[in-house]
Amino acid sequence: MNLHQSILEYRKGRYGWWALLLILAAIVLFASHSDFQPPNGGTWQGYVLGSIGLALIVWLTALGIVKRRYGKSNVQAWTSAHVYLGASLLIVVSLHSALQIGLNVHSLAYVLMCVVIFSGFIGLYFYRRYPHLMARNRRNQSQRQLFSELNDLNQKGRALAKRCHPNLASAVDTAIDRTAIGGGFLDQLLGRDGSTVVLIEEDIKGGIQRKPVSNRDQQAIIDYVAKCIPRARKQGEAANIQSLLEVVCRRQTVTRQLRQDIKFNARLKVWLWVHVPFTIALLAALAIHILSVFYYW
Amino acid sequence: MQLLLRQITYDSSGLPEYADSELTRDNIVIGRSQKSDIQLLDKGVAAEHARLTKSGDKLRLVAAKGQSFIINSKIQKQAELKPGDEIRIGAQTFICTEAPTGFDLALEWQFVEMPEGALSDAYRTSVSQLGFSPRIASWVLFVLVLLVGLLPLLSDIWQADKPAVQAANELANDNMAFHKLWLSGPLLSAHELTTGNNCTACHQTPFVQVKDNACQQCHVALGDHVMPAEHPAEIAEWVAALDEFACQNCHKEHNEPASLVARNEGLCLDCHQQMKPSVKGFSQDAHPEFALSLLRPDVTRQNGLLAIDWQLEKLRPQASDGHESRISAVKETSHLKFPHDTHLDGEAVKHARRGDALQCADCHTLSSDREHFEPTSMETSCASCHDLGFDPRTPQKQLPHGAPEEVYDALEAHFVKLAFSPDTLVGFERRRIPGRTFTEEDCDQDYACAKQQALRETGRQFSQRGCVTCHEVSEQENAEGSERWEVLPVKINHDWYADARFDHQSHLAQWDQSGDAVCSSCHSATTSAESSDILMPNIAQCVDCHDGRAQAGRVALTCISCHAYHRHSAIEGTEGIGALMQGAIHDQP
Repeated sequence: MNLHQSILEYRKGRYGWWALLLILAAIVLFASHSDFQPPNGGTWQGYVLGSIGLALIVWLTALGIVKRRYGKSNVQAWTSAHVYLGASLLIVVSLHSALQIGLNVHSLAYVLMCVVIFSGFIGLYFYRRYPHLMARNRRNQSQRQLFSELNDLNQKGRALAKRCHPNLASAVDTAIDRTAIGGGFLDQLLGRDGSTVVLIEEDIKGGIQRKPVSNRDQQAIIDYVAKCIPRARKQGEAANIQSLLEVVCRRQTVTRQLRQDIKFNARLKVWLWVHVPFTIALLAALAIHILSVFYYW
Repeated sequence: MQLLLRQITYDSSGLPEYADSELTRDNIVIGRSQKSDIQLLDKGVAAEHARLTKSGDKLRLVAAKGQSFIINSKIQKQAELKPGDEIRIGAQTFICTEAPTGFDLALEWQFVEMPEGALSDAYRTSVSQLGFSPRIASWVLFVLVLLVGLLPLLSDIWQADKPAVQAANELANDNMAFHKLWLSGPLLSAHELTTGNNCTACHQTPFVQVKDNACQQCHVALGDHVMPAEHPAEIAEWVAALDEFACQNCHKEHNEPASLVARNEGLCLDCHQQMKPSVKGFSQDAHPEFALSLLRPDVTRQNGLLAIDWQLEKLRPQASDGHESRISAVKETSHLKFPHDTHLDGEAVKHARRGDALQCADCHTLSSDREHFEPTSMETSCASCHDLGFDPRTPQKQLPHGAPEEVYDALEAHFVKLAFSPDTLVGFERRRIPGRTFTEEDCDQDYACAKQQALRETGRQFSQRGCVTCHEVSEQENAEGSERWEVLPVKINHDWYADARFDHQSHLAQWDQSGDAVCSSCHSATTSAESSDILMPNIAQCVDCHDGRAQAGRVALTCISCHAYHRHSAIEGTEGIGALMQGAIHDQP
């Protein structure tokens, strides 16, 4: 049995066929509008399509409850149906509205629904794509293990740096201190790297310059350490810096992996920040839509 | 301030190692963030935990909001630092020492290696740590949408508290801004104007569909679709059903303007295909022959006087015996003699002024309703050729038209005048006119002679030339004098298909023919010798170009292209408005 089965392929896409049938039924119903009245939410076909849409929305929302009842329901089946029927909702409701869009509560509900559905599509894309990429990126390690390795590398790096020239030691220290992993919303979502390093360099006049520079992808510190190798004067210093270079290079790999992992994790969560609140807003708009239509019948 | 920071670590053999660094800042920030000046990777340390400041000679350590540190075993939020103080922040310990020359402060940092797992805690590695709560966002959006969506109702409640002096209209307009949020589609501009943007003008009770009486507040002159009296008892059920047929069934407001009037034929055919005559659409087979509205005179004599009662008779296309009535078999009785063929023959009749053949438009002028024609009259159409002169000697003298009882008086006056002032025409009257029965012996006195002449001329006018050329004249053998003849009043049918609409104007524009040829394509006037011919086209002419269904080479017609659903009963004094209203629907696209 396939250990990782996509929700789309669940039972050979059974719910996809259901959704297709639903879409076809909706189209047939829509086409049955006589020329007596143009298609509209207020014809009997419109009422039927609207009722189907309402039932679907309520049922789709119930996934949020179902998935929290661990073990009591087949979440995989629910999710598969959620995806397919949710997608079909877009057609059903568009036919219900006959694409009459205006600046009113009815269109508000429609727009909110579209936001929910399209954020769902984005989530689906992420869930199809990222689990594989994440596994490949972490190379069978957990994020915790990666951080543990980074911790070791940090200590090893600081220890090695202490035995080098103070300027180099300070640079490595600040590079380790100022390594940015994760961070704010966009940093996590885009995998941005705001790492910096303070490099101490002697200028032409022999003075000392402390320059905080970007250490994106740890490249600045790697270059700095590498440049120090030919300048080594003391015995054994070159070998020491060589080991240090290995450490900072390894740090580059590990921080990259961590940043990617955080990015994927963030993306897997963030679409729900849109999907869920807009679903709740949609329920409110839907209630208003139904109230207003029948209040002024 | 200048800070000397000495980091003390111990190597594997337990010997201390010192790493000094100098910090020159106004404020020295201690915290977990990599932006801090002294970075402490510790879960118990905030991103920005505390800050070292110098004011005057005094050095202070101030914890950030909600944070604290331990100084000399006491939990503090801020403290003034002096040599010997021991500061603990998280797992790290700092000891203040005498500052060397050039420094404000020296700190010995008893560095403790970070515990396993502390590193990942130092970073924000998950979006869940960003302080955003989807739950709160959901609630905020939920309440926001509810508030916006309920604005129309809330504004009603709010307006109810406003002082009553504010005009109701103003209130309605104020509210409309919000109520527009609930509009499912545009309101017809005329409805918008008359309801004053007040939803309750039509939506009188919440959660109850708009009732007909809301429509009928303004649409008062609408007739019922069927007059029960006109129909046999077997369709009484349908009539009753129609009575309950709500305006809303056909007229959907807040929709595209095009859908305010139902135009599909299914609505009509539901009933009419089961009726007699059966209508299934518009084609030669599906639609019955048109029903002519024929005027028939009912001529009677009352107290010796002619009385005519004009009856409008509708010739149902299929008589009860099953024979189709043919237009050609029906004759009109208008009491007018008019051969169309002669008048349209350029050789026989020429236009009095132009000198060429007469054209249809010379006599027939389309009225403003674009369906009917202005009535033709003796004065406007005939008089230019047919004058009413009676005596070649006095061609300027004309008999009065439209007043047959005055004809004798006029003739008598003329001949008596001639008799008593013969100077002008001496000898003329004495001459015998061949073929006349008049002889000199018939009259021996001028006056009696003149009267006889007048009587004879009256007879000629009514029975040989003059009136009788165009009019039906009734002659009573036993009556005396001028009462012997009576002209039957003329009434020309004005509306042959009274229940249908037709736009002559649009039909007059045809690509392949123009002028009279267009008229002749439907009305065969050039071959009609009798005024009793009915020149109305029948369905065969219409289906040449039209069909009930849209198809190539045919212009589609639905029922309401020609028929009105509502019978417009004109309010007193507004006759003619009904006709205009009937045309209203037709003008829409």
